[in-house]
Amino acid sequence: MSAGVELKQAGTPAPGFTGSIGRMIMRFVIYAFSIFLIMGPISSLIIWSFAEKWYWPHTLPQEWGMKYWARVLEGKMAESLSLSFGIALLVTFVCILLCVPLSYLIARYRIPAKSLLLLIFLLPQAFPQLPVFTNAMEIMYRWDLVGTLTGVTLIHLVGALVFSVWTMVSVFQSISVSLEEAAINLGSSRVRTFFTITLPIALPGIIASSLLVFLYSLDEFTGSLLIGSPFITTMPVYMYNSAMGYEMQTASVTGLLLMIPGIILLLLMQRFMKSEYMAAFGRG
Amino acid sequence: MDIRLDQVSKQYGNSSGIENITLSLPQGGFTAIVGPSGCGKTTLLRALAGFHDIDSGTMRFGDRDVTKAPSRDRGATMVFQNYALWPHMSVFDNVAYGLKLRKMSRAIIEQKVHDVLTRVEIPTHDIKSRKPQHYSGGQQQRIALARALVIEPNLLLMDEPLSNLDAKVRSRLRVEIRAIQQSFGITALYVTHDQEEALSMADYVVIMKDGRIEQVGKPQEVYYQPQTLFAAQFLGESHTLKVMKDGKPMQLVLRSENIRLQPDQIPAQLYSEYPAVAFGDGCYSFHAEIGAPLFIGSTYRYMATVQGQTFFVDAEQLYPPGTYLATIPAERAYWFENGEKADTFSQVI
Repeated sequence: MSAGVELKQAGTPAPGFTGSIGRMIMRFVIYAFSIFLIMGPISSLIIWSFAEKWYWPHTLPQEWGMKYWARVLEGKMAESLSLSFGIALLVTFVCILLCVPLSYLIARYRIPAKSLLLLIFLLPQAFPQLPVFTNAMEIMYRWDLVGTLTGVTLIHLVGALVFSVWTMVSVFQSISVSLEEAAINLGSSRVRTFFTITLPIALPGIIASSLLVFLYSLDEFTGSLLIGSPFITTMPVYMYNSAMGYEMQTASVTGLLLMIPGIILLLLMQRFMKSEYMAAFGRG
Repeated sequence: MDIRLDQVSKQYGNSSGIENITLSLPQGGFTAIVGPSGCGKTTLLRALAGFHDIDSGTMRFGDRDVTKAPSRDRGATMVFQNYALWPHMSVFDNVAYGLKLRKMSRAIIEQKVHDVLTRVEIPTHDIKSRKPQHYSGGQQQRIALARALVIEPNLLLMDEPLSNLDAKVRSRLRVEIRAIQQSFGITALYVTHDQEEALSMADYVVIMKDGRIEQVGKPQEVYYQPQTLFAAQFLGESHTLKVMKDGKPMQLVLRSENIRLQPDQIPAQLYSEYPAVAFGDGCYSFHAEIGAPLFIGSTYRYMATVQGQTFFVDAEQLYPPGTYLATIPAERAYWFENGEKADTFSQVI
């Protein structure tokens, strides 16, 4: 019996050893590749943001400095930044207000032509953005909404509602009906059941979906440019304007700054996100 | 409180509706509905819970007509197959939910929650900090049972509460649920597809098929005196043989455990189409070919063949394959003619 045990022990390390080396190489390759993919484009942004003088054929800038960071931070940029955050908050708020009840109804009740309804929500995303937004712009001109906060908020909502409804419907669908039935037959009303049972259970999903909406609104460019100009300059538009003026430095600084809320929110989202909520994106 | 259903019907697009169900559940009794999937047993349970309206008929809880009453006014609480415990609340809050809705004082709620959880054998020292998902499946179902019982309902409904649990826990919880139901003296309706569960737990067993009640009775009654072909076939390890009796083609339902084998050299007396069954000494007997034994634990199971029809025979002894005389006590042989119950005792063919 002891011989058998020894044999087994002697036999095991060899395949395990080569296996772990293979895995380590695989892992290294994957890490290296993803770092290259993610950090590659960003690294040039970082270098550009600190470059005060950088001419061809030099590989790295001739003069380094914080001049552009200072210029961006004290200039109109702060204004754009707060405007962008304000719009994003407003869009997120309106989105939650509209989408939570709507998604719940879609998820729970037999609604005629349910899939058609969901498809309609998807339509603006199905077509190229530019024609959709130029058409929207035409309508907004008629209603005097171009260049106003309302106009930009509305155009952001077009895209945001898609994210929101599709994710939240799947969040509510993932909550078993029996959880609600259990509350109702203990004596709870439908409204009370929704607020004490359904909503708290759906909350992580709603938060995750709202974070996505917030990020979408913060980064939205085409609609903001077409509807917002010339009076409403959000961060992405501001960045675009400075890049158009061949101010690579300003554009880089703005770009880096815009990444910060995104990274923070995505980290937050990871905490709330469950895999079933991610499934909504697969379908969306 | 007696629960009475009268001519209750509910139609669905699919087949799982119910038709003209008339049934009464006596006060304090444990009634189990058993039947194959799609027989309407869950529909009936959900109709009683008030989760959906019925098309016609009446439902009464005692003197009160609850046919149109909303679920939350009925006091019929449900225990679900998936437990349906709320994951965002502690065990205490789960159980206290129904009490809080009744605006009871904090002290009374504490008292009742602790009492009920103690009775279902859930340790109560950490119930305010632990969430239900941190308990085992069997414990979760006991918590769900406590949540349903704590508001002292008129009727306790259970929808296959044990089917998500593994076999050992299941057979233990059967005994426990039965004991808890009796100690509370509550009227209970239990839906299951598992006949063993129904027979072992219930005071009354209701056999359903295709939205209709086939038979209602005490467990021993429905098991030993099936009134319909389906009831006979559904319960036990049952086999149906087409045989010739009194010159008429009939169906004989027999259960594997009731068949005795006797070695016999005489070849089976063959009729053109059906096997012949003889009657004598209070037993029916016929010749059957026995195949190789399968050991199934406490007994051996034999595949038996008679005129191309197969059935199982369970016996403790080991028999070599060959021709045997299979005998069944007359009171354990169930005869049906065109699906209708037929007289059992009769003369030799």
